[in-house]
Amino acid sequence: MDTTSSLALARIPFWALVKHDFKRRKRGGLRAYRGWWWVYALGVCAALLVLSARVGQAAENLRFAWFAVFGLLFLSFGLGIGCTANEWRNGTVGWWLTLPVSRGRLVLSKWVATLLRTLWVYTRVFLLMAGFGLYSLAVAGQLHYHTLVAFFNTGVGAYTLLLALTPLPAALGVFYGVLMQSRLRPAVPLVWLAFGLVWWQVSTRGNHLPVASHARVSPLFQVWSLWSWHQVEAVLAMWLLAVGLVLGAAVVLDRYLAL
Amino acid sequence: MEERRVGALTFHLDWSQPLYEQIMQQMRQAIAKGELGPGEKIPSVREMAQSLRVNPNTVSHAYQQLERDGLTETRRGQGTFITTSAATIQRFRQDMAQRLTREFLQQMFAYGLSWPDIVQLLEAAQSMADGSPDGTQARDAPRNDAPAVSPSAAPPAAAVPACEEPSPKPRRGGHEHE
Amino acid sequence: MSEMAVSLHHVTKSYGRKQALADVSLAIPRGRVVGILGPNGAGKSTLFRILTGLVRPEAGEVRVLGESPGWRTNRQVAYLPDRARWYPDHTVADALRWAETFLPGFHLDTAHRLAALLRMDEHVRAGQMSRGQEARLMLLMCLARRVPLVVLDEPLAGIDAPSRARILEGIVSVLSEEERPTVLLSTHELYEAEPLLDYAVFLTGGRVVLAGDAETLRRQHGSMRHILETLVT
Repeated sequence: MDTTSSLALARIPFWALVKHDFKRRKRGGLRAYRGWWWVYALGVCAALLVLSARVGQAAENLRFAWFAVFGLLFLSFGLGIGCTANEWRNGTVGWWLTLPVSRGRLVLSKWVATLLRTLWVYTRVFLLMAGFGLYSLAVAGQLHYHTLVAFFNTGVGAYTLLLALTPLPAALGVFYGVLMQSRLRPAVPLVWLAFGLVWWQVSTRGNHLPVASHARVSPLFQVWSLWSWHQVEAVLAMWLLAVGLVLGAAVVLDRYLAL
Repeated sequence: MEERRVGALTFHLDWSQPLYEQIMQQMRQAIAKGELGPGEKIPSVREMAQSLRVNPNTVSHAYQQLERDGLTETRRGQGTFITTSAATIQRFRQDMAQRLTREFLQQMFAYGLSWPDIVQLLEAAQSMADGSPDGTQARDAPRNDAPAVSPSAAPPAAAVPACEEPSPKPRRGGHEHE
Repeated sequence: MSEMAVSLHHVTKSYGRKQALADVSLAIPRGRVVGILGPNGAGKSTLFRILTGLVRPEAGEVRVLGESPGWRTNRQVAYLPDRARWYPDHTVADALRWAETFLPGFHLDTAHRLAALLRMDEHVRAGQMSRGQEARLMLLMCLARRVPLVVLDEPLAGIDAPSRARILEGIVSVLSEEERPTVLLSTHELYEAEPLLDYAVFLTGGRVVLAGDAETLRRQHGSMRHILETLVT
């Protein structure tokens, strides 16, 4: 039969899947709580104003504000969990897992979507930080070329590292979200343990990582030259680990689903 | 019994009996009674199945039987129609009536009722039917009157279970009986 | 092409100590509407999950359209998961667009015809729909696909009577297509659904206790509902 053979060959474009996964969807309106969004936005603005007034006094130290962005790694982890766990929370998991797509592609799409969502947040935070820096420097009357270079070099340095690190927590989030719904759920504490070890390793080596140590001397945006082979290897290892976690999530979906 | 309407037709379906037979019989009855006239178009299998919310296979099975009876004919691309031959319908009706009468009498004799008993029962049933506003009620009449008649018949009590036997055939006979 | 839509050969699946399916052997011919009937916990959903590759049996052999079930066979299987919901941000139009991309064999004309038959409101988002409306939308997603096998797990559960009647009409309308699919269907609303069935499989405690042609079963045992009641007690 003609229709049957064409059916058997049907393919779903990967990017359509990513696009679908990229969209944030939650059952029940956040609509009712929209008022709270404004409360928090105002709070953050107020905090920034106060901070900028104080930090501006010591524009030298302003660049260290960039270190706050490393907190976003946790956000990436959370987005990864949400991206997968929402299929269960929204009751759509049956549709998701019976799509004619291999388990590997399903989780790969979740991972890519998580990375894209994370990037989208990173971009907004970067703009916010840039605005905050410019404002603080202006308020302190320190809006000079070398202060700007120092500030943005630190920023770009921090972001380069941040981007290099992000695939791992994103993959971990996807893996964790799947693991929580599987018969392997009792292994969750082990995952935390392993994650703790990795985090510890990364943070103790943080001193050796190229964040801003020489930022002031190097010309603007030339932070890449500061990476040593050793550091690049470490990052590559983490990416490999991330891919391993995504593949692991596919195996869990295939064999250990608690349905 | 579930009542479902398809256009002007009303079906009474019982899930505990084969559905194809019920649909077929009720279509036959509608044709015999003239509810579906000669040459009239009948609903397609699809329409019928959808309105009855019954499996289309079941409907088409019933339709095939009607066609074998000669009561319907399918015209390519136009649908299914009641036969235009009034004679065919008349013959079908007669065959049916004869068969039902034979079955009825066989049953009655089997329970030891004599010919006069049967005539008496039929007369009583007729007067009941005339008295009641709805002629179809007639089928219940013999059951109600049975104990009162024919003290002469060999086992009088047997008349009661005879008529209450829940086989579908006597019931269908009741429908045919006018 | 295999003559059987679905076949199981000594299939066993357990969750911990509970046996969901115990040595089930079954062969379902193509083109039938099959009721998978039984009380709660009889193994109906487990059976459907095995057929769609969500769950793997511990033992036995399963064939769906002649192949081992998995994501590849799901191209040809329209599956309505039990207790499923739809993506809350989708309107009917969004859902149809989604289905065209993600569900092989999805037929837009059929979908529009069904949407009219099921009286779908095109502009409401699934998150704001009543359960009956959402259930009709999900059923539409399955029925508008031209695929050889349709598996519906409790399509009538928790739905108001008018929606149930429409859903059943929707199913009948798809069965009248030229290339009619095999439909597997589990339901507790047997009174309404049973005239649709032309084959029935009765499961209790993970075992097949009775299976066969529906009209024959009616003649021998009475209505499907009656059979189920006798089997359970």
